[in-house]
Amino acid sequence: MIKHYIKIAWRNLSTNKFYSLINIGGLAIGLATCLMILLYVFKELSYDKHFKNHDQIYRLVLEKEVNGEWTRELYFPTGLPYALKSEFPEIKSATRINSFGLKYFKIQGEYVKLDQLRVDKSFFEIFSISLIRGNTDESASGMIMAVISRHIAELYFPDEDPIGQIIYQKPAPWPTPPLKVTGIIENIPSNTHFKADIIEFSEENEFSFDAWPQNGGTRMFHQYIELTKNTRWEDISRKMPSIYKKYNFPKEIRLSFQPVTDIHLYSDFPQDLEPGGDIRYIYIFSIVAILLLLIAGINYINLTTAKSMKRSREAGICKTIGASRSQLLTQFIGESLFFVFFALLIALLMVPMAIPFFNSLYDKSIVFHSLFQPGVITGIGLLLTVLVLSSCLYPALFLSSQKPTRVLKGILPSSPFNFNLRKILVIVQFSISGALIACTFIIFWQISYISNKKLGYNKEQVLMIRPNNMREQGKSFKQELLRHPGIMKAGTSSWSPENPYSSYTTVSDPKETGKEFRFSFNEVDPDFMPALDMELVKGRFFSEEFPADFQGIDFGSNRIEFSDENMALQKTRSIILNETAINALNLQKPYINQVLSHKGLSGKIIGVIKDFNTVSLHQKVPPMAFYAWKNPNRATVYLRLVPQNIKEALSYIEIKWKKFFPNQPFEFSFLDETLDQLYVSEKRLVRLFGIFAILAIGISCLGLFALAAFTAEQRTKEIGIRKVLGASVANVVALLSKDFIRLVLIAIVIATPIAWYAMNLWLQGFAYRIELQWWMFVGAGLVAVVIAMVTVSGQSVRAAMADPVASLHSE
Amino acid sequence: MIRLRNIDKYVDKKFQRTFILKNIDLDISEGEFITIMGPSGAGKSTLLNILGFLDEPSEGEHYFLNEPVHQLSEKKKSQYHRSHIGFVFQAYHLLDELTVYENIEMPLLYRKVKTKERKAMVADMLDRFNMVAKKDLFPSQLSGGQQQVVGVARAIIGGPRLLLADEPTGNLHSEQSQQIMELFKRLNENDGVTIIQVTHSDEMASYSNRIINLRDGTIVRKNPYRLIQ
Ligand SMILES: Nc1ncnc2c1ncn2[C@@H]1O[C@H](COP(=O)(O)OP(=O)(O)O)[C@@H](O)[C@H]1O
Ligand SMILES: [Mg+2]
Repeated sequence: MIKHYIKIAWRNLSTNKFYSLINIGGLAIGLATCLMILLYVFKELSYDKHFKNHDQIYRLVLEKEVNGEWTRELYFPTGLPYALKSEFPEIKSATRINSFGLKYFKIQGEYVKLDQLRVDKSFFEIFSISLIRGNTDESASGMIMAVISRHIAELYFPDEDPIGQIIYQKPAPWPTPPLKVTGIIENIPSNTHFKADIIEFSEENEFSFDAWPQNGGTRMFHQYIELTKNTRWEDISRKMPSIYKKYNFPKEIRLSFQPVTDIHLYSDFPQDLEPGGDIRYIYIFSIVAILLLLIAGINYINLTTAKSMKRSREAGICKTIGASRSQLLTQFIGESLFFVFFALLIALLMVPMAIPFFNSLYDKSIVFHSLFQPGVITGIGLLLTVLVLSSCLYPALFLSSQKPTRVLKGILPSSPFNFNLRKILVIVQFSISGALIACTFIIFWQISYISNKKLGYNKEQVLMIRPNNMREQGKSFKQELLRHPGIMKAGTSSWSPENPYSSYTTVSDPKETGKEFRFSFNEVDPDFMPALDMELVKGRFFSEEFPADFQGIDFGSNRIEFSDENMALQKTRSIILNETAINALNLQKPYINQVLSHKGLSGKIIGVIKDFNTVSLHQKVPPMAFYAWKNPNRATVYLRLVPQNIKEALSYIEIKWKKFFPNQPFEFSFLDETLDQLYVSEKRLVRLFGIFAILAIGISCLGLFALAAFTAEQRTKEIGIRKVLGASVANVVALLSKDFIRLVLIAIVIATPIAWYAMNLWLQGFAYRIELQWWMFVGAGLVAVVIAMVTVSGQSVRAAMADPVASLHSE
Repeated sequence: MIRLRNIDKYVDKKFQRTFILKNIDLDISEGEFITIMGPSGAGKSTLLNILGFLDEPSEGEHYFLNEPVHQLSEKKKSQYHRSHIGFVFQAYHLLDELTVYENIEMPLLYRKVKTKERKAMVADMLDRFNMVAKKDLFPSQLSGGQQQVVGVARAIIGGPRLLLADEPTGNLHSEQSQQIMELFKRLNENDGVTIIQVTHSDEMASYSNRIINLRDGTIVRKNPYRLIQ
């Protein structure tokens, strides 16, 4: 019997090649997309779960109350987790991690960039990273102990034993002792919240923690604890108040515990070790996956019920020769299963082809074989069950319930909502597609808005380089560079676009107690602001001509002197503020020459500049204050180049760099490209949404195309008669297309508020955003209508052009 | 074998009741060969469908082998379709996707007949109707008469005791029609199958041994045409 059902299903499939292709093709595309999204979702959800005791590992987070609001930070006095460990038997281990990200190392005489991690030894107790060879116990004075990943070992020490090898650091103003390799570890899986090619380790308890330090203490490390089995973080949290008391915590500060498995998806600290994922995208993509599958499923339902005239005759015949209803149900459901299975097979062939494309687009490393794990297989099973149930149950029930007498007489299945249901389903499809198109447009508009927004400076043709140990050389380096005709201006600053508001200081007005502002402090040389074409609102930029611009504490130098004399000079030192700072402090005109003596901010205002936006327009511009520096050690040097001969200028700069900083690798980046990097995730989103929208409208149109073809086929005779009676081709096309276009229009009306709501929500995440306008939705709707129109009218035109005599004969 | 008492069939449309069949009393014994005649729209097909459990009467009692049909479950009815009743249609109603062989085999599949036995039965049937050479053809590759032969073969392969045929020769020319009628005759006489057919043709009716005249949904005892004249 089963063999028979499959035979009938296969013959049905192959005799109606056109419909089958559309049906299975649409379904396969929908399924393949779903599988891709499933892979992505499972990858995102799997972060850090490969650590053996991941349920017991927590990262400590500092919570601080500022102006009644709790802010969260990752950096706080170091050594704290060890103090906690000594207090609580429930804490099994504690450790600290720090990272400078990609760092230069000199291996085998060459500089290479490696992902570096700096940890306490106890790191290896908490995080189950397997040591292939060697040990993590050694120590030696004057050297840092390190383990390297298998990948790095194979890459740089193909013929030698890496253990015992010495690796050198790039020279820096601070001590840079060499590294000794003591072991090789397994590569860190890509679904980990940190990357590490090389892990430097040292003894813990380097810093002890007896009380909350008055000056803030050393704040460099991320700090982790591992709880003993069966302990929850709540158990510790409950006992924290006594710790706060014992260790003299300020009353506005408390600690919280972040499960390590939450870091990737729920954490967005600027100091995170790796840019995290976003749980919202998991939801968005999951919803999109379900919607795409729904669209493909609707095609199936529509085409099946459209063909049901023929199929119900079959059902009627089978009933007269003794088929019971359950046998018919089995047959039709079996047929659907066959279809879906076939589509799944094709989808499984498509996925491996789509993976490299997805990985390059989304900078992810999903792999095909991860489909074969219990979670994913259950997911697929669930998806298919839903799909089969939703797409075949209705046609199967409908067909098997037909009265044989009627269908055998050739009366169309008369379920009153049969055609209405099909209409509703088409509306659902196009609502989804329309909404996706609208979302794509709006995301695109928002991104072009933020990338074209006036930043307050000129980001084009600005080269950034970052020398170390400049000191007095800095000035002559700049002057030599400016000698080249391709380099127009040069300025240095502590500010960098990647990390623009890093140095926050709390400023408060002594007269208005309790009111605090978070100011971003930056040091610049006199040429920086002119070099970036920043705009002055009032006053002047810093200048060598005014000694007061440089008096007081020299923040740029290696040794900052807080002498009494310096502190006194600091009170009348020149400062430049941005407009936001003026407004925040509620300063009165004239601003220039006002002397500020706020807590955290003192000096004489010499200039006010227009707000300039640094990064991510997710954040508002903060109040900013600028001091001038003289001979900074480390700074970002901004070079404005002449557009015509950038290449030449670049090689000139490299030559000069080699001359001034022979031990430092030459590295550069362009300001505009760096800024673009900041919107990478949004740009990916728009691309992905574009793809989803294309798939959605594509699959919907496949269905619409088949439905239109079917309707035209069914109405061949009617069209023939109308043409004989004098209807023009245009009349007939209008007649056939009208119904479908009306459905699409209704769909757009439904899609608009949904897309409006969703996009409004999304835009809330941006400090600077476009206003949603009605014409954006009209635009998206128009696209959907035009595509649908083209799809439908092609079929209608064909039907309308047919020879009426032939079509009348065909009955 | 069959007993109909006070069978009414009507449809209600917009407060108006239209009778298709009215007050039908009919007894049919096993082994009869009956022709139902009457003008188009008289209700012949409806009556035949009721006799074959494809349709239900609105009122009245219907007994088949002393079983009250109006009380049978859907399941029981399909069991009767498998074992007791065969249908032949004017439009043949073969399954387009199946070959001649597979079409004839289909009812046996629903009855879950074992493969070996099934093969033997289908082969026997093909042999009997001289269709062996055509067994792998699809219905669209056959002439009307040949299709109807397949239709009959499919109807009787399950060994029904009642064969219902709604204008089986309506689409055939006379030679093919006679062939089908000969087939019916033999089935009736040799195998004892009860046959009820609908036809417009007196020639075809002459093969049967009782004629029932239907007009406007009621059985006319005397020849209705003569009455009008
Ligand atoms: N389900 C139905 N609803 C309404 N009218 C019906 C239905 N079935 C049959 N009829 C009507 O009943 C009458 C008898 O039909 P039918 O039994 O097919 O006649 P015959 O086979 O004698 O030509 C016709 O007028 C037909 O239109
Ligand atoms: Mg009839």
